[in-house]
Amino acid sequence: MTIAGGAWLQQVQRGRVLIYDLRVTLGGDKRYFILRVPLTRKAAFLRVIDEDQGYRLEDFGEILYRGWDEPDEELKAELSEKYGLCYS
Amino acid sequence: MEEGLFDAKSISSILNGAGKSTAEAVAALTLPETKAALKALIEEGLFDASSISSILSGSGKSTAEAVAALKEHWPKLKEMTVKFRPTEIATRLNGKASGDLGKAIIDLHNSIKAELDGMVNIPPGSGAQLAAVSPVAAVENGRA
Repeated sequence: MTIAGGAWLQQVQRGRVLIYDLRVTLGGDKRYFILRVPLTRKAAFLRVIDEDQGYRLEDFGEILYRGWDEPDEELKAELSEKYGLCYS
Repeated sequence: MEEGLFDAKSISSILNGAGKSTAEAVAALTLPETKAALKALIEEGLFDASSISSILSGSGKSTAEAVAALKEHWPKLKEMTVKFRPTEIATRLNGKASGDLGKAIIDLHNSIKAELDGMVNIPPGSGAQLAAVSPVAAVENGRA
């Protein structure tokens, strides 16, 4: 998986792009998705999560990483360092 | 292995999970065809030696059978790592492959087929939660 580093990392730092760690159960499996959501889609994204009526993740942003259960410690550390995600 | 593909920890991990006797597992690992297969798989760079040893250690069958299954189903593994991190796939297989690595690979591939082919649809009532957000979102939404 290739992530273009520079340009949108700056956007993350400037708050124009947000990174979310979304947890959901799919087909009986606990899953995580690390999403890059443009600021312009943030409100809509948070609304569909609250409403919980079904949605397509790609309509709101780009999936950077995905997996089962939760990100491993290595990925958590990377996400914390790169984007400031806080896992405590 | 003299090629240095695996370190001692990885080899002990493979032997520990081989499901047959240590002697048989060692013999399988040192077979020229097994070594060649493992070398080719590692050199392709899809999985590192640690991930491969993790997959093999959970295979529950003989090392030779597990290596053969890895080789046979490599295209499926490759396809899965387009969207999933190799370590995620290795961990998943390590936990699921209780008897037949080939079947575990097929089952895993089938379970995520729709996702590999298309988009991620979150069904109604799935109760999605945000476990972490980048700082600006956290401040603006009061979510963390």
